[in-house]
Amino acid sequence: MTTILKRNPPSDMKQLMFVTRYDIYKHLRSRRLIGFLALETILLFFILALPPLLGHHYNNDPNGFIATFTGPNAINLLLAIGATLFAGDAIVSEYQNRTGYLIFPNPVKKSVLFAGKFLASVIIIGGGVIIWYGVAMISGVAVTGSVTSLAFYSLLLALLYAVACIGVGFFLSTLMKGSTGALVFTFALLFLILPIVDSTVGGLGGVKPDASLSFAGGSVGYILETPYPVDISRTMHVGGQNLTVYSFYPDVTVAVVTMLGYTAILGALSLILFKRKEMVG
Amino acid sequence: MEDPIVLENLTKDYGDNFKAVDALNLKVKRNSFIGFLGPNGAGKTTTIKMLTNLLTITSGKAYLNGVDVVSDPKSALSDIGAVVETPEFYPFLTPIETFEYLGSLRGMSKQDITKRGKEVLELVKMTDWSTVRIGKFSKGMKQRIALAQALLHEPSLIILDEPTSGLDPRGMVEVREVLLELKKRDYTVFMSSHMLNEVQEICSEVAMIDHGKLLAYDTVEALVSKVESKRLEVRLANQVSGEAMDKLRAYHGVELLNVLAPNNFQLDFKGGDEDQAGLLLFLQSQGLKIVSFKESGLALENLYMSLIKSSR
Repeated sequence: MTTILKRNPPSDMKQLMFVTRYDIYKHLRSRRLIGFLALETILLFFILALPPLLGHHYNNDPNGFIATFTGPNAINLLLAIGATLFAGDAIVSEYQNRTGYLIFPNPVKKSVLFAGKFLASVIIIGGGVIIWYGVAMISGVAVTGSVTSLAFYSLLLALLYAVACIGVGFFLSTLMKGSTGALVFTFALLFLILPIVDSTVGGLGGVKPDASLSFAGGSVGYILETPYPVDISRTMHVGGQNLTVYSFYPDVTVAVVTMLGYTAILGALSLILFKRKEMVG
Repeated sequence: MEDPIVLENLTKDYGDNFKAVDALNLKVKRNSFIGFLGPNGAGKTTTIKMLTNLLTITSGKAYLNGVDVVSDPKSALSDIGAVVETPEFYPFLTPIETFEYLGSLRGMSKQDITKRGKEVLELVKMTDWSTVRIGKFSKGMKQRIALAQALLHEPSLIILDEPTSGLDPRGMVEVREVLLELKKRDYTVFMSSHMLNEVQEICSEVAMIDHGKLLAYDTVEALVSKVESKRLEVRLANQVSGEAMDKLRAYHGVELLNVLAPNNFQLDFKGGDEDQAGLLLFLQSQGLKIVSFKESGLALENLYMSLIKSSR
């Protein structure tokens, strides 16, 4: 059959830009983005204000100063919340809120919608990470007089970890049927379940959890330590028995591969699930 | 120019021997206003969802303006506007912002979107609400915005799934006014509905389905002319006697007689206009003082009921 079309839709690349732009705009209008930035500001305020308020001195070592921003759990909390807010219900909400009835009958591929939404999440959360490190580095220069290259490596690892967390969020968003469940599960998985599994499997089980995303994400903070920490084990006598406790540290290369793997595998699975998902009910 | 909608053995199988749409064949002519009729669960919405990329097709083919919906959905959907079920909008965006998003996805320029946005908002009488967030709108207002977005890019084909469903009487009238306005313009409209009065009032052609199969497809006039039996309602100034009723039952063409009240009855009558005029004279000859003698119900409804009945 031949066809006569009155108006040709734009290229996939142009449509990708429209989807990304309007997804960011929607987050801005829904106040999620403002809430995320407000939370980031509060966290940064506490990190910078607490030492003088408690009568402590700032860490004078450039890497040590930046490390106060990467742990304990500060950046992980920010990324878990970011992935929850901007990826956790990115797909499922189109079905549950019935906005899919408005968007899907348009001349735009589902892969373009997916990529545009993913890119919007990366831009928002990545922007948050860059602001985080920007504040850390500027205040680091003010306090210690310098910033080392390790801070930039940490930033790159944090960005990679953010993208992998978004992959997890999108995967759960395509897998689950309700927005609330997807949001809660994304946050719980990234901030609670995976770290608990790491401690149990690694610390007590003696198995290095290289395949765990949160374990790989630990490299964001550890890379600032010189020398880079090495795996250790300690045996203690507890109740007349020997108990060996392990402390594992992610190898940076393995961590990068793990984070890339999560992004690629979960991203591909999410896209396949999204393409197959039907607008029923 | 290709037919705007062509369905060839279109099937949606949900397993367990349940086919929501069962080898449906249909060709919709350009510039027609088609009513897609069927009872609940007949397969109307499933067909429309398969056409608009919301459901996958189990087997068969569906073409929009000659383009295969499965192999090239982007091109197939480029010249259609659709309102499926009751779509929801992003509540934090205004109608204008929503048009900007959808218009840009459909390849419209900014100037085009601004110009057409004003026109379609005027058409659906929502101009005063153009910069208000849609989250504050009632269901009827959202439905009118849904119609407006479907018309934004001036598509040649408009697909509507029960556009007045769930609206209050005022909302229904407002949406019907928009539909009648569309009928005057150069569009092909494919509209599912189970509201027979709406279809008979608005549509030029009707396709009836049940159990996912096509039962009839023709112009409204042609379908109505096929209806042989009419329902007539008679109201009297005096009371009807049993003897008169017995004679009426035996009258040629009277199929069913229902006494509603001592001075009011209903009958199904098979015959043309001359026969109907003869029946009126007969009633008067029996001493009945006739206050009103009118056709009740819709011819299309009678046909619909008989087709649905025979398909079950």
